[in-house]
Amino acid sequence: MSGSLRYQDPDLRALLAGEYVLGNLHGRARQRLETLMLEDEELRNQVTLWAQRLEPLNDELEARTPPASVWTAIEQQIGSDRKPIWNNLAFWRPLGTVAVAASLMLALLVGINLYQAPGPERIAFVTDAENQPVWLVSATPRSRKLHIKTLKPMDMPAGEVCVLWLVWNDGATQGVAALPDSTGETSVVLPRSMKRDPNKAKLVVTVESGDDAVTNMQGEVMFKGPWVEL
Amino acid sequence: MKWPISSACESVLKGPDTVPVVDSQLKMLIRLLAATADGDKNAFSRLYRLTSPKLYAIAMRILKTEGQAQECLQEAYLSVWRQAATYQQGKAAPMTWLVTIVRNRALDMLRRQRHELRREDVEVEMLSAPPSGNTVDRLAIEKCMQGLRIDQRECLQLAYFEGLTHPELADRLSHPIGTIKTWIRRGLEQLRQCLEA
Repeated sequence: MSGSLRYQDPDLRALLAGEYVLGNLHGRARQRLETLMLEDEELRNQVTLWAQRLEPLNDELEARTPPASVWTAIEQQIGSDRKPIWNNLAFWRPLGTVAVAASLMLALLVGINLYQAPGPERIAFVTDAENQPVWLVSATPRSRKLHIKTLKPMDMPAGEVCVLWLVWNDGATQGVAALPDSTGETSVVLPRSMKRDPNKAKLVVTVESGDDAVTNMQGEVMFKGPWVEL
Repeated sequence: MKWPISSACESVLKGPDTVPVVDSQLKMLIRLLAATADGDKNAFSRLYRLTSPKLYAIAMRILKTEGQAQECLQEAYLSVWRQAATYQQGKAAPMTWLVTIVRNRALDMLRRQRHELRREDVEVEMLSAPPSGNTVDRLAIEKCMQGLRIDQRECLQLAYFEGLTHPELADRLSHPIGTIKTWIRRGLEQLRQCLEA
């Protein structure tokens, strides 16, 4: 039985959902299930049902108040968060093959032809809390040009913009552009002074304000994730 | 000892005489989560005070050390603060959502220790579009757990509370992996049948 057919077996799906919540589904089996969950609402439902079934087991544990230092650390971290944006946007999902599947699915949903010549070789989606794509960022092969398409208008607070950055593993950053908050698209040519390979960077989106929004990364990181290769 | 909020999750099956109290607690948690999503730090602080003793106990049970449990709790509540807007009322009880975030964070930390890849924010994906509420109460699951064979029950409890892998369970319980897998499979199936009966 092929892998995909195996996962259509109702008994196996129920078992895997239970094992996933139980916590003893590991490695590739866990990754496969998470990949399936992205597109399979019924499977997500099964997992949630198991979470609800097993949650009361925790009632046997003795409640214990955590030390005050935990809340102090949390409070410090949320001190500068700009919550209105968190309400509107969800995290990027840096999930490897999951991201590929999700991105291609989303591309189909929003009717984007990803393969028109000369076609992007890498894409990345920024999605909102309802998993709807807000921006599509694509990179054309052998070019320093990035294309940004707004798929859904964003209601940004006055004076604030979402800024796209390239961030390399050693921490080096390159501001790309302020992401447009109304429907439309734009192309950005990366500066020639930038010697690094953009394909090896991660994409990061922050919320910035001020004149140096695209040159000085100061705001909260809203999204981060790798390119998805097509 | 029962923490005050645990009963909030029992509203569905607790009978009409207790519903007003637990129902108000359930609604309070939902209100606090909604206010947190709007950036209300006071509401978030109250949510933390009410729920953190239970979530800390869960993190301690899985991770064993106070330092790790506190790190887990801190990361989990930061996720709650940032992703409260993704909680959908009526699709999962607030405590189920919170417990899932803490458990996944704790299990991630265990897996990191085992050199497995960390998979971020899966709980958000999982619980942002779950089914309609189907709350199970503590007595029901206790009764159904008691109906399992001792070895099956022990296997499920060790997996749930300690995040043990099949080989680790086999080692702990001194049985072959195949036997462990069978116990878990049959245990889950019997548990499901019992809870749905």
